Amino acid sequence: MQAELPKEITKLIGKISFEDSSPILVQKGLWQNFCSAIEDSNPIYWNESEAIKHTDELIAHPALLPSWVHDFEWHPNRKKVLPMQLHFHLKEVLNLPLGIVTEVEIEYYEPIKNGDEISSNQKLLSITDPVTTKLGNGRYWVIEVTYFNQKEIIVGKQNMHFLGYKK
Amino acid sequence: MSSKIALPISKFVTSVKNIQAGAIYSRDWAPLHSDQDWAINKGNLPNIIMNNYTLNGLVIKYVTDLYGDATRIGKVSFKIKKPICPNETLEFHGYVISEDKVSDELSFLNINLDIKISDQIVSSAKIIAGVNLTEKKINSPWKIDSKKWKSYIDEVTTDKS
Repeated sequence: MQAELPKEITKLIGKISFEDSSPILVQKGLWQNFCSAIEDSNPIYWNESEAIKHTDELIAHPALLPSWVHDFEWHPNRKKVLPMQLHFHLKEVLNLPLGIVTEVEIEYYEPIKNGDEISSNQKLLSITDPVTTKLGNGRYWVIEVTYFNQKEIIVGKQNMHFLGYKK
Repeated sequence: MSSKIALPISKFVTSVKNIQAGAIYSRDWAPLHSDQDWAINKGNLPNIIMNNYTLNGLVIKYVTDLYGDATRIGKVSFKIKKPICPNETLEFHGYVISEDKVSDELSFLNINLDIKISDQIVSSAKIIAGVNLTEKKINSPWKIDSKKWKSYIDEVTTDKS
């Protein structure tokens, strides 16, 4: 069944196919507003004198790692770059217009700090044979996203599990 | 340690404001997380729904609230089983599945978490967290360099696979 995949897709498996650069530097104001929304009072996000005991300086909430490569909703000089471009590329090539995230796995290696510049790349790890689900017919796939800081150090890695389908 | 240990239950009440703020401050512009009109009339949803980042933020908060500010999260995996809408009370039910002591001052906890609304599981998560369980807590898990930290995560993850 794997042979039924278009060559355009099989050649993507295991290879980096899209890269994103940070449209903004990591900002304390953004992560503190996020912490406010979820009522997270951990001082490593808020209080410099407490944070230095652990992380040398304040750090961003880890849950925000993937968000630092999200593009602006609107930009004066260019079109918006979609997040998870590889996912949208798969949907288009396979003619599966609908897609949902079924599972997220994320590992955190290096704390993210104010002023960091995060970039990422996307790699197709696996794609299943055609499946029939309650939502429709489609395929499951897993995309690995690796995140780097401005020193090219890997700061985290995320595996996103998707179902692409049509009704 | 092999038997699972129940952790204290924590609650979080969702609102239009905190779901919208969670989405906007995580730079997630998808309208199903912030535009009620779009969610209901075009998204065929009961209301706006919480995004992945906000849910992950609450998962991490649950663990760091329990084990202290210096708790360092190594890995989180989660599944969303039902959409989470405003004006719901989320209940966080955590269980320590195992503890791996990798040095005198560092243990990795494997925690399973069910997030419920009215006894229905809407999301489940697995967390690997580094904690210093000694009384003095002199060395923070955050002081471990990223290469060593990653090797610990690989080791603990491999043990559980």
